[in-house]
Amino acid sequence: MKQKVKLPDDEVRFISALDPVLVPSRLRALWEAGWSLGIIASSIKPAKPKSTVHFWVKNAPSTEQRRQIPMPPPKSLTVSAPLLGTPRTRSISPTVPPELRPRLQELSALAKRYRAKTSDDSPLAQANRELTELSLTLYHRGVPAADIAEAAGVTYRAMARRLSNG
Amino acid sequence: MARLYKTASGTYSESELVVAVWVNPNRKKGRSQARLLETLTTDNSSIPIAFPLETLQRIQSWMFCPVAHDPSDLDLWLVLENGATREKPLLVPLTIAKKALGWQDFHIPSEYTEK
Repeated sequence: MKQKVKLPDDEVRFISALDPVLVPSRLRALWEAGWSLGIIASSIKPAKPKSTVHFWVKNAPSTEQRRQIPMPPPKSLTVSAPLLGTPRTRSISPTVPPELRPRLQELSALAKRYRAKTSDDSPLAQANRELTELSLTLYHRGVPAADIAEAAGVTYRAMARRLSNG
Repeated sequence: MARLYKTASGTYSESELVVAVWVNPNRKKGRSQARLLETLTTDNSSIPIAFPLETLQRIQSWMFCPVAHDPSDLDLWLVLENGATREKPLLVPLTIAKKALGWQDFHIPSEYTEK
């Protein structure tokens, strides 16, 4: 059975030990920090109906909290059209890791001088092959061709051609 | 010296903060032009949110998610077949995300509030 999200144990103990007059203000601070009324209501001891906690929170004075408020849990893992301020899912690409950029630029500078007639075992041909292999590895890991081109200091068209021929 | 981030729930190093990533379902539907990954961001930015790992592992829906310990784990989990999904994302420490995914900017949880 799925376990319900609750307030941290030390927070529940702190609320239980509070002067009852101060409890509504603490609950209000928790609610304002993002804890839902349902989680607060089911966590405190004894548990109270959500409507009761709602009434307390709405009527409690807002007071400064000396004890830190625990961080609320994310509302959902998978919300794609979330409420304002909640995390949302977004598609994203990896990019070229910073430590690979100098190598790409170095290979690219050599590969620019490579021609079809260049001998296969020349440094220029080796750099050309290595640039293609490295670019393809990054591309297959989801790095956009445009990012690889920018890191290597070549045009998008040149990199796209290298990737499609490689 | 390792950078430390002070958040509402404590102070964490980059290796203790993680981003959640999974394979974009559109890729699995055969849309090869779709971006490879999905992640959690804030509503108005495309920067991934970083969460403290220890906080996520206390939450039922996150506690069984795989955690990347090495850049090679990304090759294992971020593949089209049987890769990480929205229901079971891969949690990637910022140190590995910087090195393997090339990301440098993250939304740190101290800035994260729900309204």
